Amino acid sequence: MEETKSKNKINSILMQLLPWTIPVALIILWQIAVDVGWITSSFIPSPLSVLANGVSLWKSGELPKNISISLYRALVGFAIGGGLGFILGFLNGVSKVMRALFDTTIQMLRNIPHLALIPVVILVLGIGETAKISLVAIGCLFPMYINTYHGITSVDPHLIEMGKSYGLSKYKLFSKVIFPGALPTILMGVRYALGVMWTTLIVAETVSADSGIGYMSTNAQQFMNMKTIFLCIIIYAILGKLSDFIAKTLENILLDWR
Amino acid sequence: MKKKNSVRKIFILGLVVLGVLVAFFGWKQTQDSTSKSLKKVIIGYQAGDEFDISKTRGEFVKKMKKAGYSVTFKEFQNGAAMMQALANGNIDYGRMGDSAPITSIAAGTKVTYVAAGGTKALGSGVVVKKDSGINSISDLKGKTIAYTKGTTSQYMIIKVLKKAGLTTSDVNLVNLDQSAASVAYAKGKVDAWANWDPAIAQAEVTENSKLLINGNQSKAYNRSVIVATTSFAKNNKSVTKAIIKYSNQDMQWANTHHKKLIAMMVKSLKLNKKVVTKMVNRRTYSMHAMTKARVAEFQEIADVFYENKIISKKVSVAKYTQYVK
Amino acid sequence: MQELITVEDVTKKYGNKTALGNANLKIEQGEFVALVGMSGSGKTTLLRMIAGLEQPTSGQIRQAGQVVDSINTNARVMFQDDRLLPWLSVRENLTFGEHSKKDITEADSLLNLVGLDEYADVYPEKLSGGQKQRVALARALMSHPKLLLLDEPLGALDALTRLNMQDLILQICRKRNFTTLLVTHDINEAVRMANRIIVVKNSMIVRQVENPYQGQDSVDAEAKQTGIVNDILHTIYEKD
Ligand SMILES: Nc1ncnc2c1ncn2[C@@H]1O[C@H](COP(=O)(O)OP(=O)(O)OP(=O)(O)O)[C@@H](O)[C@H]1O
Ligand SMILES: [Mg+2]
Repeated sequence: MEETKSKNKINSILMQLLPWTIPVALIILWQIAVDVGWITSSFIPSPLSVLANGVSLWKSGELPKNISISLYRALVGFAIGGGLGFILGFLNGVSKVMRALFDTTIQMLRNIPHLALIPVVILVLGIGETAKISLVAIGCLFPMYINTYHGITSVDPHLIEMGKSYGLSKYKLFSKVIFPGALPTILMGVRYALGVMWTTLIVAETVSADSGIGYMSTNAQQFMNMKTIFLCIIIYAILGKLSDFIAKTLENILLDWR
Repeated sequence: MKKKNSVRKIFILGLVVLGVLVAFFGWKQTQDSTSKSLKKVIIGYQAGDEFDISKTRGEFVKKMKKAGYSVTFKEFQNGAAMMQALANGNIDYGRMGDSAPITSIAAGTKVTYVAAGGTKALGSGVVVKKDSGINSISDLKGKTIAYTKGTTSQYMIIKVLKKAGLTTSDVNLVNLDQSAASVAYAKGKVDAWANWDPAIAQAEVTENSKLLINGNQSKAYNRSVIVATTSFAKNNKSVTKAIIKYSNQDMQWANTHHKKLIAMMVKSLKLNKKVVTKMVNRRTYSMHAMTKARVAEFQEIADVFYENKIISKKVSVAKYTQYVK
Repeated sequence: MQELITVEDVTKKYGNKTALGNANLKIEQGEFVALVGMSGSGKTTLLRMIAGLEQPTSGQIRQAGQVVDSINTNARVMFQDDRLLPWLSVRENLTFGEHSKKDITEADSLLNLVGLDEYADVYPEKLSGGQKQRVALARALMSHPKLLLLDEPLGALDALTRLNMQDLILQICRKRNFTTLLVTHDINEAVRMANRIIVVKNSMIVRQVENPYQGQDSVDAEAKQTGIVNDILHTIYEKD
């Protein structure tokens, strides 16, 4: 009995480690390949030298500064775009008049790849923070809109009928029936929007910036500074994974009834 | 089950709060600390150029402040992006290579040449590997050459081929952006590469390469210029004057303080010291108002571009020039 | 006895199709009425109109003298599918997330009544079909509605659970003096539970049968009940 229990525990730990074996193995292989000289370190620097570069950039204050500025742009853009997308999706989901007024326009705009809007955004908003944040916001708006709208309109009509018939107030109907029913789809939108947030930010920061991770990366690219390029790629991977992890855990907490 | 959830809740809450705090820290850093009573001047620059030196040295901003101007520097990755920012009025001045304004003017952008700097002539041209068997420009016949469209390297190629008595159909031209070209060159996918420092110096130092022809020989000098939006230039002659004056003072400093300059650039460009030394030693820095001689030099570029159908309209450089003195 | 529900010359058409034609019906306070008939005969249509979920094409429905012209919140419907909210716990499904002491006390006592007090804090996902139906029943009983409308609530259950639920519903309705309208296609069920059975055929109310043997299970009463069942079956299958 005791034995099977501890065996199960070991098994579950192994299962949790399993997803990490391939990345870790690849990194080790990569380090060896550079050390032995299979690949030229001026094109592909070794993981350890990338790490050392990261540490020195961190100490010089450059890395914390750029990460925090990127995070600021990302979060504010996400809050504005995601918030707006949610509100629009909500309004169109519950009101037929709003839907008739907005939906066609939004569907049309949605099909424009948002990065194609860069010149327009620069023209209208310039090259300052507003432009970069707006680009991120535009990127986050559509996935949030689509998912909120879709989530709200596809809540089981039987449940809504039940709520109405049981005399729920409009607010109660929304907070206890419609919103929780739409929540899984909305959270999918949040996850997707978080992904778009990072990819848009990289591009926005290459347009004209003198700070941020995207700037660090393009600047390094100009001078073939491969260590910094790889560092930026890794930072993006970590930030992306981290935000995905937050979204996923949020799902687990909010949707614990599933 | 419930307990595990509340631990997770606290953990996630902590992560989110941390993220917001860091973002707040980032926001603080994006806020300008410059005072409001001064006239704002926004200058676009590229890494390693004249304004980058001024920015890093710090004297320029101080002097401009005394003269009543609050300067903000904005970095750009290339001349095209800077031209776009100029056209939209997002920056007042921009420092770029001599040929970038020509294509923009031809496309209808209203900008004016207000100053010209030194050239990169000795550090611009076509590089080849030492063991490539290409020893003169006439050997380029049939070879693959990398260049970047819309930059001075395009002008360079035309001039070099003309000098060798070749045309563009005698060689195989490939348009690659800087980073792609540098990989292609290093891997031997292209035989020659038309570019300028620091990429050329880097190729010479790390890729066993030589400069086949430089800018003085090809007459594609690759000079630095400062352009401003036409309307801004018209109304702000005194700003232009101050910029030229203080920038030139920094340039004279740069010419006489190579050691400090090299250390500074190694740090800001994150390049090998050997490469930076090579680049700095073959360059003379300066910044002056426009002259007739400069106009003639740029007119030549405009004419060559027109003849080669790179631009579709004749451009008269004199019309887009302001002489401050 | 006081009259609670009056259905007066009610017709419901969907397009050209008559779902229910010229129906007249009275239900008195405290009655347990069953509505039987073949599939598609119009039972649900009538029930939904009384619940205010559907409006008659012509005619009028009144509850305690008041015309039912919008959602009738004085009636509680127990639907054929349980329609529990999966994101609320069993107790919250009864209170709709309300936290007042009064609501919680009432919810807990109703859960006790249907024998589910241990499950108050679990999500409906974890319950069996019969347990879910009992939660739905308890939810319909919250704040003692004037009228219970049950639309084949036991259709999805196995025979044994069904019998238990029938007993439970009948017991509660009698003990707490509910007025109930039960739609079912199971005539045995109707005759066991109702004091009056209404037969719908081809969108018309064709017959009303009084059942003095409601809820009785002596051998004698069961024989009488079987007689009534056969009588009703005859009406339903009789050629026009
Ligand atoms: N929303 C609707 N639109 C069109 N026709 C409908 C609609 N609802 C019901 N009907 C029709 O009205 C008739 C009566 O339907 P109703 O649902 O009342 O039958 P029922 O007696 O409850 O049958 P069952 O025992 O199968 O539930 C049927 O022929 C059905 O097709
Ligand atoms: Mg039915």
